[in-house]
Amino acid sequence: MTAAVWSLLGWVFFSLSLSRHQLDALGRALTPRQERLCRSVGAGLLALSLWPAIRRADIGVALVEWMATLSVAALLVTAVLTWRPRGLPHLVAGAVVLALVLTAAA
Amino acid sequence: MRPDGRAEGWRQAMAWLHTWSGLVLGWLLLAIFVTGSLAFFRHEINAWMRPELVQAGPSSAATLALAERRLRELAPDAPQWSIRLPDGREPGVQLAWREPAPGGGRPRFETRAMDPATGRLLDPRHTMGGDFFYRFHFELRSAEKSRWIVEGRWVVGLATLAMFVALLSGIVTHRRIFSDFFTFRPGKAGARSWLDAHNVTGVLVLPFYLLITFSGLMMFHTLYLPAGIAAAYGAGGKGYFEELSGQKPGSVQRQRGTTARPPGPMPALALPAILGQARAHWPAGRVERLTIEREQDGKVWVDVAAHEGDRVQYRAPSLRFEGVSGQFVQARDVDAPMARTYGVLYGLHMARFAGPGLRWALFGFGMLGSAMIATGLMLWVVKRRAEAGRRGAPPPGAGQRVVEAFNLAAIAGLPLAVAAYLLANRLLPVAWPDRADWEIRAFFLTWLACLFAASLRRDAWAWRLGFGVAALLWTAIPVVNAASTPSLSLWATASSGHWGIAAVDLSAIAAAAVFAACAWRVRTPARASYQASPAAPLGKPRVAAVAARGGA
Repeated sequence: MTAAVWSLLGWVFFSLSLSRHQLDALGRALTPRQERLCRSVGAGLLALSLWPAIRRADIGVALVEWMATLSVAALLVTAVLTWRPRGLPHLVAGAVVLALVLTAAA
Repeated sequence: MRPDGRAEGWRQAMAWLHTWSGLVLGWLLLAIFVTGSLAFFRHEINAWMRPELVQAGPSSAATLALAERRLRELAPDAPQWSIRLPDGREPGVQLAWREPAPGGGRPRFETRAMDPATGRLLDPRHTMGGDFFYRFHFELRSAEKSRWIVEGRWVVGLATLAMFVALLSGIVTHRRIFSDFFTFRPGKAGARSWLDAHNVTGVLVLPFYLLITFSGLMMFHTLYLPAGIAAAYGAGGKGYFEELSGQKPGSVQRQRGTTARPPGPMPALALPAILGQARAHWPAGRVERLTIEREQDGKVWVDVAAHEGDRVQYRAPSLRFEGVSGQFVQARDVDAPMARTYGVLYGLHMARFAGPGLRWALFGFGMLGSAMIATGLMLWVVKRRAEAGRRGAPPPGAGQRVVEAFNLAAIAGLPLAVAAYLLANRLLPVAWPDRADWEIRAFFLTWLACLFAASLRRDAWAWRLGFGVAALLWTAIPVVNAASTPSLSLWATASSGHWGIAAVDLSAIAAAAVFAACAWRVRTPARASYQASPAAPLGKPRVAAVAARGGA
């Protein structure tokens, strides 16, 4: 679950690195430097999401679950960008709170 | 192949490959994906289709003794017994024994279901249940006992290879794979929405598709590629199969296929003690099955196998005991590198390790894969109609008409047939001897009827009719269920905690809603006067106006 939220955040930042989505979600374009930063942050968060998944007994099952959370999170971000792009910042805020709570509780 | 004869680029060649490897076997692949996704929940569908088993009580410490006593009553002289203990998804005890066939043919297995609480034999209606989807998925099973098993596996193998080629060529062809990553624009005219849908369903779930396709292809490697095995292990490849199943060469051998019975009845066994030792050996795991084998000289071996869902790698480890004394003999597990690789691929595909959350996710990915194939098939038609519309070209040729008919029969007809199969389970009389085969025939006859109807009409009206009838049949499922087997109605199963069975009814309602939405969203040109807004309801992009205009 924690992994899901971190990967969700990761994908959000990835998506923001693409100019197509910046206008819809943020109402403005980002500079190339900001785009690169978004991409790195996104990749970092995706890698970070592996950690809560791996801390289980069977690494085989853990990797499958991690792959599944990556896909589910990406689909969720796509849905938000398609139908409620303005809601993306709210999604980020909610996800950050949830991620911190879950990580602290684990 | 460029029309002007010039050499084409690599991407264009891959696009051609992607189109044709996807199109030629696309309808079969759609069926394989849909039935495979259903097979993830085959135990739940089995439970829904065998209502008589819902009375099974909880298992207890006495269950194993009850099972042994029942087997002693049913088959005291049998050379092999098998007891499968209940788990979360299969609540009954499965008893099985080997009967030598009359006339010295291959021995066959008899199975019975037993109530774990009382030891009473349960007598479910004769049906293939969810196992039909499972077996259709990899061998195109068309009846309960079919002669075309190997042929079916070959066809599925060919289709899987085509799927793999289509996946890889699709990745290569997709030029803006990263910038298009999250792009989905429903409601655009022409092929754009369909292409977006095809890309999004394709790319975001790509790890799943690659894994499932490759592991599926590898599962029957002994059938497709026997030459390498023969070269390394000799003509019969016997040593290979032993390594695959974890038998060490020269270890205690099983006698297979003996037709003579060992003398006398099964001696008294120390099964509870054996189970206790096995549980101590695997403190965090579950025991799935005990297999009791008797040899000609009277010795009895008991193999206790761990639950296959306890790890990814197939096959589960097992412990061998002496049946009469209960003494531990050896622990068995696959250890040849080849067998472990195969075991991981097999285990990944079967996903027996998946808990409820992951299982629903995998089912969802399977449905998205079906959507990917369906949008791809629609894309082929929509693009050609768009081109024809622009150039004022002649009406669609025979090939395009065939593709349109097959699209309708596969995308709307297959879900219809699945609903018909489930309805047949409730509507056919319980006492009919052939009812299992007739349920399967209901599936195929419905599907064939859809194909026939699609050959007559393929326009927007036909699509709306197809989706509408599908929505109707799926709505009927919980209704017919409640009417014919009240103990399994949605209300009863939800309030008694049988969530697996309730999920089938709930999914039927959800499926009906999806197909109703699809029927609603199919638009003819006269009605297509609005632009889809971000607040438009979720659903498939509307069939392009051009597609409907060019309809038959």
